[in-house]
Amino acid sequence: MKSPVKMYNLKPIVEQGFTVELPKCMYKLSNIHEKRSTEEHVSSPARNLDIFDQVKQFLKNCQDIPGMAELEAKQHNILEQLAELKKQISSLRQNLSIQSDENSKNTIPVMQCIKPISNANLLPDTLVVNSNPSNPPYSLELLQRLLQKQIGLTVTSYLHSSVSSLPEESSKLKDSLVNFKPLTGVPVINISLIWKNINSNAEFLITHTPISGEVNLLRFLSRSANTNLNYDAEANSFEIDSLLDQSYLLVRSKTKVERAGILQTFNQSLGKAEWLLGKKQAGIADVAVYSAIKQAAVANQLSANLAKWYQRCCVLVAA
Amino acid sequence: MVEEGESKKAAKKEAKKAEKAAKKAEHKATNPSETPTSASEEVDVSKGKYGNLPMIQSDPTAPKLTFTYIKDLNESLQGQNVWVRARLHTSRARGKQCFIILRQREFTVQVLVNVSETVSKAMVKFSSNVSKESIIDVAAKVAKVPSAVAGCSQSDVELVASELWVVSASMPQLPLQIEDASRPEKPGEEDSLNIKVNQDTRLDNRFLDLRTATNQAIFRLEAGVCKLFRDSLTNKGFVEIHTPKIISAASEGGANVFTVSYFKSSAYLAQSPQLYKQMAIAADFDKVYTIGAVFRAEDSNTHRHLTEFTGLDLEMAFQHHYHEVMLTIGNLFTEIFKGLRDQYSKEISLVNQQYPAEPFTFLEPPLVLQYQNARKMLKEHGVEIGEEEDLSTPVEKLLGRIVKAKYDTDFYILDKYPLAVRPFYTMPDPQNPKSSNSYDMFMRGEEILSGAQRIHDPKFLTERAKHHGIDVTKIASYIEAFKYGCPPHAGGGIGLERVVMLYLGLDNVRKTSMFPRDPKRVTP
Repeated sequence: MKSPVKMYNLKPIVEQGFTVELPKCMYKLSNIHEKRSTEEHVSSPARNLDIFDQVKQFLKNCQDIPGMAELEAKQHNILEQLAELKKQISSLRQNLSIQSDENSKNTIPVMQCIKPISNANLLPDTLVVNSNPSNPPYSLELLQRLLQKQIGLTVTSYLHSSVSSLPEESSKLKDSLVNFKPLTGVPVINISLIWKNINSNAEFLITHTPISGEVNLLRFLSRSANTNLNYDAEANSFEIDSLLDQSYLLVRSKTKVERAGILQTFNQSLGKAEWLLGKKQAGIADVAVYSAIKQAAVANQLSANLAKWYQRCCVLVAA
Repeated sequence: MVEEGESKKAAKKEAKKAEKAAKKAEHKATNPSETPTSASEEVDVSKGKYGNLPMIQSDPTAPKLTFTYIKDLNESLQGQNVWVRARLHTSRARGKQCFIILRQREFTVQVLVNVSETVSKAMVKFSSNVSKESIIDVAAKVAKVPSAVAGCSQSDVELVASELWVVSASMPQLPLQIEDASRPEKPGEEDSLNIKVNQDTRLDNRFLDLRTATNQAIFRLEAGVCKLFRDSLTNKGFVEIHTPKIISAASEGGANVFTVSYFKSSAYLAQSPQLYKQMAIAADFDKVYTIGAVFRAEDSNTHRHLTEFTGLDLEMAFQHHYHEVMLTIGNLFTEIFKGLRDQYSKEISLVNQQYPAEPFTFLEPPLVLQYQNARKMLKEHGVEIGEEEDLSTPVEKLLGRIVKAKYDTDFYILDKYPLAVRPFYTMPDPQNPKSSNSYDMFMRGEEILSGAQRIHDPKFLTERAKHHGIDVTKIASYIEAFKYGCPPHAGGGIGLERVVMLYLGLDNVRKTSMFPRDPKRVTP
């Protein structure tokens, strides 16, 4: 049979070859389709239903259609023009020395982690740190001494108008920070320490939004400079992060039980080593924990090992 | 015809007039007979307890009364009889009662005039008819109120009046209502009662406008700034001097001075006491300050310019570095701000009720920024300023916002201005010839003080003046002062009105000048 228009064969949308179990609780009605159920109302496809083949078939059949060759030629032209355009663009790119996507893909495998280029220049020359006078950031004084050979941290202290007078402890810390003289020849970072009535113990500003928390300040300072306090490359970096979080919790803790629990984790981390996490020299975790213990005023509740460690920190500060 | 018509009309008018007169006469005839009868029917029990007081001429025989201040009225005085002399703020009659609100500065109290055995209807009527803003004497019993009186500062008590005398009556028509003048400015709130008093109306009737609690607070605070300025500097060993306001030659550049006729010639009004401060330094006074009027003939109608304002100026000799002076001035400001914060918190909150503003923040010691750093900060925010370029007012405001965001301070010092933008007497920086030993201080992003180390060497001063193209003969007297030896010195001056305006976060300097003078106003 030759019909004027041939259509594609389509798969039936609804499969009809299964039996339907009719419920028995209702009236029985005679099947209105029963008559036709024996004869197929959709002719099943004889061949494999491949659209691509069908199109081919269709085109073959249409060879003799007038205008087809013309259309083919037109398409060919368009393709040629596109190829020309591509060539032009790639030559332009070469002139402008922009690496093509393919090249960059070749140089950096997708899964490789890009290490940050760490040097002291990542730190801004001036840093504004707001700090709560009732929770002085003792970490700064330890940091000043630990970093003194790599970065000179000079601190200028300001009293914000929201604070009427500085408590004794903060005032002591202020003197110790301000009087610290950085070594000559090391890059200097000026820290403006503003004693201010804020919610957290410390906050600092890089862009418009302040970042709060003393440990976050430590994370920023240690990671944005390539010093021996940078812990990015260390295998146990998340243990360090966890210790930093614990020291934040210690400052915020309200009950004795809570504090005891946190001190216990510190003790475990210290073990019998000289510094936390069994290190040979003081790291960023020591700085954070030292400050937290001093702020929470629990120096007298420490275990023997921890107390010795705390003494070592104090010696570092005094040096 | 016409004349006849007119005369007819005239005659009609006459007739009407006569009729009216007759009616009036009739009315008069009946009325006086009415009043005495009613009075005789109902004897005024409180006669002699109210009325207009004879003018107080300090008669030595007059009875002496002790008055209680409204601010002292509280529950502890409950049941006592007190005399109060105050202004009638508002009154409102309701049947046999009359509620009066008395005002004394920012304090208000409610008075109740109630018909009773001792208080007659006539007295209540008289009380309700006393015009607003009159000064009255009230004898009353302090009574506790069951529920707080809304809208009065003394909300826990009221006064039950037994006597009421008018000391000084006010005209019934007020050019502005005190309530309108003290209505809070809340942007964005579209209330039905959004009546505001125009700035010009306020200034035309300043004596009324000044009665609002806000204005009382503003000028008390202004006095506080002066007092703190004096106290702080006196403690630092400064001497207060008084400089002439009529001068023979322009003290600064020469422009913007008012000319006054001076007998057969003319003279000028001082636009800065600077020359005299410096002469005092040359005369070994070491540290001086002066508070006085300063005149600027600038035809600028802005929110921050006045043609006459109060200048607080100081000048100080130093040992090695002009930063000694700059930090002295910076600490002076810190002390003033701290004094205001601690001693004038009530005034500040009163002003904020009408003109809400963020509290003024500052750092101690004050933040000192170098001009170069400020340029860098501005560049980070997309504004480039040339190395020898001055900051324009909008840029100053932007810098103020940047500094506030970074350091959270409304006050800071900008040091080391480019030499090219400073007056000829400014000492150049020894390390950088383009820079100078000069500083500006800012409050809420607006410049309030401009100061510098002055050149104290007459030769160098002449050289610098010539470099600036200034006629040396005109400033001969200025240079003269340094010819016989003068210690190195620096100083600066601030405008009192501007400092108060910026401290309180007000939008117009006219609000902090009691009787402002600008190019368009010389009255009252």
